[in-house]
Amino acid sequence: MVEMHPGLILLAAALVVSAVGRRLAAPVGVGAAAIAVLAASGLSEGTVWHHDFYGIEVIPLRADSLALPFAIVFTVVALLAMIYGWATMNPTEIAAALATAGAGIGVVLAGDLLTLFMFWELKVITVVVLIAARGRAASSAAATRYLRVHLVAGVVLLGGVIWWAVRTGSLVFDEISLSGPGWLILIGFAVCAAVVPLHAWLADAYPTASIAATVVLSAYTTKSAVYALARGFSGVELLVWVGVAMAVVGVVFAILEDDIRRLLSYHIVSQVGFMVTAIGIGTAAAINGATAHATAHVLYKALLLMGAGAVVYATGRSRTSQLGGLSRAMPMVVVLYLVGALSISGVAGFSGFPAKELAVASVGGGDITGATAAQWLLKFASVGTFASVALKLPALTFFGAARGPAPARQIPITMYAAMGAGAVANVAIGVRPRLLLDRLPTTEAFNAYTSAKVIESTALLAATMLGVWLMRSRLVPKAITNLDTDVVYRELPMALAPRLRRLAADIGRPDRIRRPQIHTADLGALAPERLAPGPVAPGWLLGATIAGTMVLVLGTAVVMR
Amino acid sequence: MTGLITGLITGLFGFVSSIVLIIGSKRLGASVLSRPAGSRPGELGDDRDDLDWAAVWEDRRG
Repeated sequence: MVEMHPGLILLAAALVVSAVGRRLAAPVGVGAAAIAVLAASGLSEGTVWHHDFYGIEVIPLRADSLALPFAIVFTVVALLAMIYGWATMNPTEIAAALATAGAGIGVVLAGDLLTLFMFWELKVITVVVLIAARGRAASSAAATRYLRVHLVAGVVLLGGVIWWAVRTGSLVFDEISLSGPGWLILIGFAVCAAVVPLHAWLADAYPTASIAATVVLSAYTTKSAVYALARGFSGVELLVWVGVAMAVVGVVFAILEDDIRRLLSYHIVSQVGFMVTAIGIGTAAAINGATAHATAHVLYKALLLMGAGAVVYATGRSRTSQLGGLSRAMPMVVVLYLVGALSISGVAGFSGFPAKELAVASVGGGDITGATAAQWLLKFASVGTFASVALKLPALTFFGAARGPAPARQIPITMYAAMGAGAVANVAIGVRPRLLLDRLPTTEAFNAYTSAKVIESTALLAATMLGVWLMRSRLVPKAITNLDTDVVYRELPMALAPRLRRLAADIGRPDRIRRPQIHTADLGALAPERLAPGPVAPGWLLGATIAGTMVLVLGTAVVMR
Repeated sequence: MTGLITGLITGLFGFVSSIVLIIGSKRLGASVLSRPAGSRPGELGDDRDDLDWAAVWEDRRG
């Protein structure tokens, strides 16, 4: 049987969609994604393509035990997203979604750093188009931000790749040592994995895209980075604590969030934290755990975002403060969403249970200082996941009093079909974990369904339910906008801008130079109620520039250490 | 028996954690890290224009 590169199939389909009319775009997208699923599933482990590129050996395809699970699940989500977006995506979005999926698959199948970088940057461009294709001012701004953040990360990554190639004389992508170029490559990957505190781009970008585009976005950027970290930096202890921070910070902001798609986006940060922690542990079991969790996460996160997207599609609202009482109008969406919610929460019988158990167990068994503390912090994050995704969001969106109008439109059958397929996949993996565990990088004897694990998991979630019920009055939604860590570089420059302008004017007037005086009243300018209305762009641009510079300076300092 | 004791400890941890998490997050939400939605028009994450979604989709499908 002829083996095909599934990523190239999707990229070719993106070109075709760009050329055909609106009527054919969706069928071509679904057809291409289905072929890509077959191509990825048909790749034999060990297949490697070598090519000579102007004297440089490149490896555009390396189908090994680590890359294959990612490649297969990436194609499956591409198919689900194409079906889900059949009735709503315009041709530009379909082409960009196919290209994003193709580039993401290209990253995980790349056997050398040059190919990886090419697909990595192609993915950045296609994601920008995908976000902006919604055609809103907010989506254009989020796309621009995504571009800036990832261009900086891309430059850092390219610098690291070139340095690495010069130092080692090889571009083959395998374990990378934490020397100078290794740090640059690690920073490039880490930004795309949305590590804390450089994660706020994710919660801005994903929910501002259209509902089907968000499903595509949730799968490729961070999980490509997870793959790259697993391939190149497994066992780097720093990643354990970076991952734990991501897991905890993500759920804290998710509890706080009012917008349902932003809430789910924060859970991407949190769940990727579990994977990054396991990668930091670096044992064979931990890499299995990270891979299993990434694979399951792609499936249940797609289902959750499809459910949330269905709510947005039907009501035109995305804030819990404007939703509620939708269960009678859309009971199937409630059921399908809850399958995703129980999966991400790690409830026995759903896909997240074996995946999360494997990841968390591997962290506890890690040979590092504080492994047990890391394990308990991940359990703390699990509590937050269950509380916000499986309890808060459904309670405020589907049940209780309606805080907004009834759904204005019927959900297309294609959306139900995609959500149904996603739910079946999550239940199938939960009921038969071997469907997932048998495809992991190494063969490990792991049984998630021991009585001890099931009792522990159930006790954790049942007690969480009790705690949330007691605190339910505090979960009443408030219409707020999370600034997150953006507060540092969005608000600080704006608060300081008048002083800086005065200082700049004084530079030309030596007689007027005076010692800056800080009044405690000025600090109050940061308080939310005292922020004057106005466009955010000037402060945002300055802030993004400062943040980018900070990253470069910190990166250089680490490298030169 | 060991599994039951572990489950009890884990359950207690989950109960306390959920309360700490909700109270802590709400405190954070009342701080400088968030502000009322729509207090600055055009800001990233400000989705007040979601009210127009239904019309947008109608246009697209039409």
